[in-house]
Amino acid sequence: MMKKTAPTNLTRRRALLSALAITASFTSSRGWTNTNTNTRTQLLAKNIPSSGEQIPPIGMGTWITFNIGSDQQARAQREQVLRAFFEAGGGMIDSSPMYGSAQDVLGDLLSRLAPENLFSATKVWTDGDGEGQINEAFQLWRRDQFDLLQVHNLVNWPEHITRLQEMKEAGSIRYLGVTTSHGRRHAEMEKIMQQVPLDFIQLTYNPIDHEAEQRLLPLAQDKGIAVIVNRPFRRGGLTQRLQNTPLPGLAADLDCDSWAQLLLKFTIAHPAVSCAIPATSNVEHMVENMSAGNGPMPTASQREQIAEIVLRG
Amino acid sequence: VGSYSIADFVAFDLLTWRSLIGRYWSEDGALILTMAALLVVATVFGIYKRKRWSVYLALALCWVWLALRFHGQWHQQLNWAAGYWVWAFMLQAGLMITVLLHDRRESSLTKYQVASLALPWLVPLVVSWVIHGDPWWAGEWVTATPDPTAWFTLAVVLLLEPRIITALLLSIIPALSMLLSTLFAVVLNDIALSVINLTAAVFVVLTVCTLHIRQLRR
Repeated sequence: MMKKTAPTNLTRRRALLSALAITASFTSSRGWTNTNTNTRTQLLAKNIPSSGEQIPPIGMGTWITFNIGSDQQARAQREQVLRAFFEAGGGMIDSSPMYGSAQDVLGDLLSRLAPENLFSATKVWTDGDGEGQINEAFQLWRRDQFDLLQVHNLVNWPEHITRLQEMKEAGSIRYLGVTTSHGRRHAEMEKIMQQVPLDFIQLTYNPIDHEAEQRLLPLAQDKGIAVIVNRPFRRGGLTQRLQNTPLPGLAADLDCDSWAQLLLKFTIAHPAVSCAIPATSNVEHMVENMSAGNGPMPTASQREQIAEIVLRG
Repeated sequence: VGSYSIADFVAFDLLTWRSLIGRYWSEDGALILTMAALLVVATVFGIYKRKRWSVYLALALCWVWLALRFHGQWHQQLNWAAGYWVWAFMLQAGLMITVLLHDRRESSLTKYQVASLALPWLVPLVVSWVIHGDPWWAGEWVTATPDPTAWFTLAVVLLLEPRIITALLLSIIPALSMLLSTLFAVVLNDIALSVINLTAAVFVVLTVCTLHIRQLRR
């Protein structure tokens, strides 16, 4: 049987974020909740359009990095990564049944840390009816409720979406969505966005893979759908490619000390994007990633400059 | 399926894989070494006495071990697809036993020819050990992990199986396992394993060609 529980109350973290959102002077047209009216906004959180809830703009993916099996030494190391994530104000963690042991590892480590600000996001990925896989996800994560459940890579989406809608009504999930990556299946995703009331979509977006700018991101804004960005570094390929390219002058203006920060700021500064979910197994990289969620964000022209430099690099 | 790439199915990195192999050895090392010793004895006996059943039987046992223990318990931790390999490897063991029961003939090759043809097959194993830098007893050897066992099985069936059709039938699963493993190795940037598997593939081709030329001369 599918687990169905009553909607839980807001956690303290969510309540705090909501309070910040309310007390903030305004929510800018670009989606940031600000504390001042400068063009360079101070990041607090970004918006989930379907509810108005605020979430931190940098989350964490678990593809490869948390698929470590029963290796206790590696688990202890990943616990430090998670600790750094939550200490820096992180919220969203995204996983999938496709990621090997990642969900099991997360469940183990999250039960040790018991974070208050977790925004749990996972996926269903099967040609079958998905009930068994979803139940297993609840068990592996050791949770009664997911914040977000998504259809992975649009697999069998008509059937899964119906189930997710029922689960949302029953309160066992708070939001539903669909995902794709590598710029694949955008046409089909666009069709789903037109037909189905979605809370979230997840797609690949970075200065190289920017096809989503053409149709999906504007459509998400029109439809009030939150956007999660996966592979903001192209699975490490972008940071590797840029490692010998000097940071441009605008990096200092944006308080960026590294390409990773600049790439993340490029991504989350898009007005349609709610959250980017880079993956890392390195504590220092996690701290670096999270710092991209603070300080001044690039303007539209600065984003264009970043994209040009990255393409040249 | 068209919307996936092979990289989508490699959900772990090389470091994690090597760590898994290390833990596998530390937990199951004694059993692996026992089976390896059994396989060596069975192979030497089989070649010198021209009794391929002893090699097939020992190899079938290895395939069952790899199915149930390696793929089913260890590889499954990192890769949901390992469950499919459990069935494939059990099928390979079953095929070897079935062939053995239905065809008792031996290869027409002499033991010296078999030995000379089989010798190059040791090269990938030695290269693997040197490049990976594992302790000699704890690397990816025959009986321990799928790739070397697949290479060894290919050598055995191509050299000892009297009927070429049966030899090819028994080569399908080992070849598929090696092919996918090589693709994974490329994705993981495991240059050593990629080179080793490609070398092994060259040996397969050379062996088949040698046998074919020999048959043409008869």
